[in-house]
Amino acid sequence: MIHLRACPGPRPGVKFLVDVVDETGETIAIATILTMVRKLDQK
Amino acid sequence: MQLENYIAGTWVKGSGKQTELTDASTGELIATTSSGGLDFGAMLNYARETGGPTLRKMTFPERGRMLKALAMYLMDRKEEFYQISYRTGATKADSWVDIEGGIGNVFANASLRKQLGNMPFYVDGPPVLTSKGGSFMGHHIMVPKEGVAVHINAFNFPIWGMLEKCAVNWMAGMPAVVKPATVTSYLTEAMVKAIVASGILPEGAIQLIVGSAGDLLDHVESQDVVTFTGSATTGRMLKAHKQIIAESVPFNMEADSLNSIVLGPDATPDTEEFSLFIKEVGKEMTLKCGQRCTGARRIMVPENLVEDVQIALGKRLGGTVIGDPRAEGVRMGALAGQTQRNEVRDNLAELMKGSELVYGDPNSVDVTGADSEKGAFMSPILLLNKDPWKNQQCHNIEAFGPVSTLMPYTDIEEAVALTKLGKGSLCASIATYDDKAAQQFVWGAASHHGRMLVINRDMAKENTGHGSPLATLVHGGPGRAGGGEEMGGKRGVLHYLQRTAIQGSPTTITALTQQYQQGAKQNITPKHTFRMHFEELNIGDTVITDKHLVTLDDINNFADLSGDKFYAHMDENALDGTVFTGRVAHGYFILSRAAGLFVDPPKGPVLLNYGIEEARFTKPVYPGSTIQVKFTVKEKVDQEKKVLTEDSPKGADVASGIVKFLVDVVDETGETVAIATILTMVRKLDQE
Repeated sequence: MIHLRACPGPRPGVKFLVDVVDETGETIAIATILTMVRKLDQK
Repeated sequence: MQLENYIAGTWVKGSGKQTELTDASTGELIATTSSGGLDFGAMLNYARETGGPTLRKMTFPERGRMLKALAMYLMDRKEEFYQISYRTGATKADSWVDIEGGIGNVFANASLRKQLGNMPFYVDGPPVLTSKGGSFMGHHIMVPKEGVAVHINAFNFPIWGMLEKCAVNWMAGMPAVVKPATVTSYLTEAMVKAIVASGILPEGAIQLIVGSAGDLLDHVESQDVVTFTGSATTGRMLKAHKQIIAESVPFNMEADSLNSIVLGPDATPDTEEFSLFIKEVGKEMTLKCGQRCTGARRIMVPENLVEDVQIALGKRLGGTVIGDPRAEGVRMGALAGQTQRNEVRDNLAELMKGSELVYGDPNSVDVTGADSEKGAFMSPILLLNKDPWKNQQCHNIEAFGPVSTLMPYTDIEEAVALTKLGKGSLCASIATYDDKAAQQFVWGAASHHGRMLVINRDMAKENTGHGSPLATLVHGGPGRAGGGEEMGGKRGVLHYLQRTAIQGSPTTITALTQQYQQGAKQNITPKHTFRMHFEELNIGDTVITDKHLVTLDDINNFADLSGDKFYAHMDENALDGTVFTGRVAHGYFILSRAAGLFVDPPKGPVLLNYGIEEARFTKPVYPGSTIQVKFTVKEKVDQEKKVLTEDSPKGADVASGIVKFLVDVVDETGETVAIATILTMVRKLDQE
């Protein structure tokens, strides 16, 4: 696992949908990536 | 003509008193029927002992292919059913829902074979890792119940009502006994005759009762499942049957309910949503002559729009041509029979104690191509309840026909509260282009509903409608709606399976699930797994790859190639407040480099890699670390060879199966730094 203990402050998860399209607009790959994003409020 | 029951592989006419079945539009006698003299206990045993064992031995892909073949067989014969369906009072559009909707359910369940794995049982969810040392773990499997699914169905959908349930129990590996409502059982009988004649289902997979259920429930046992669709009163009585309670038989009830449709506060007469709402309500009241358990019985509109809605609905209903469904131009047929019409009139009389009649005549209707008295015809009836808190009949009484009650509300909060007075419904809809209003309504009322629909201009063209349950969505509802749940794609199949927790070592759990579990023994194969065909691969077969030393050049080169120059990879001065202690390798690089390690390049049985599941980057990898891959066969899913057409893509003629490989990337300490499951298609040895 990512070493959360080293992270100062709360970091909620944000899932991004990655929709890769070609020149016709058709989806050629699709994935959901999992990220941790710093909050404005660091309390 | 006398209808026949299908018992233990034989068509049997019931003895004793016959029930006469008549054409809903003309009143002509169609057939007589009885289930007298039948041994229901023997019938259930036949299903358990003959149909069950054969179905349980089949894998999900085999059951799915069986259902697909059956659906295609029935679809080829659909016109026969349409001709009979007219006799139930159903128009062509009504029958489409029943016949093609029912067969569509079989197709939809057949497609589930791609989601349920390759075994006769289902492995449920992810493993549960229960010990620190990794030598003990848990999981869940779901196996077919060893009993029979007994379906007691309603009169309004003689085909859909059977197939939406049977497709699911067959997919799960259980046989069925079907008991349709007697009044329209001639249509169910015709469909079952076609199913039996097809020879596609194994012996004992289906039996039919056309007549009274008699002492059927006295013979159910703990491995059986009973489903009921119909009136709440009958459902509650059956649910309390002593044998159901004594044997803890699962009882799934789907009862008629007082479903609501709401006009959003923003949907004023000049909006598309207002028009869509009027169209939807009109359809709900007239389709199948209002005989749908999902029918919108309560119409809730903002108090300042009641008059507008009343006028628009009156106009719409006035354009509905009622009559013999076989006659040209008829859009609304008859109720299923005179008994049903009398019941609607009785309940309507009760409803009118708290509401005024604003459209239609309960006792008179102009019809096309028929006699309005000989046939069970009825005008659409719109009631207005000006004070739905004081006059609560509309929240408690259902007239199971073309009858709905209009009522005002002040704000969404009140609309939510009014829907809840129905004490649990199958569905509710709201027409609004304001997603905040939709949120408030759905979040507020979902606890009391099995399905909710938001109607607006964006989805209008493809909207399947308020009253239409879909095979892939759950159907059922709390409280008055029966408290049951059915369909819902894979969710429905699980209702006929027993979920069992299994515990043991990862190696044992691998053997039990036929899915590789982390920590289980691996079989290092002398030959690379990319050189083996689908049939030759076994769960646990593993390749241990060469190693790769990760360098700063790797990070720079991957950043240049991919364009991903995220600061954590490129700027060692920007790492304050992050988890990283130095420039970290891209997770995508680790997986890509892993592929470079586990792929055996020359052309061989592996045809393609079409995706990745459950990829995680579990530990940062810094320059100087060494990575290596344990590449293990995790799961195999068989596939049938595709039937080639002119439009088939290149390579479609190759017989192949899906192989899922676990990619476990470890560093020099042996700790996992990245893990993923890749999905591949692997050529079969057998190309027939």
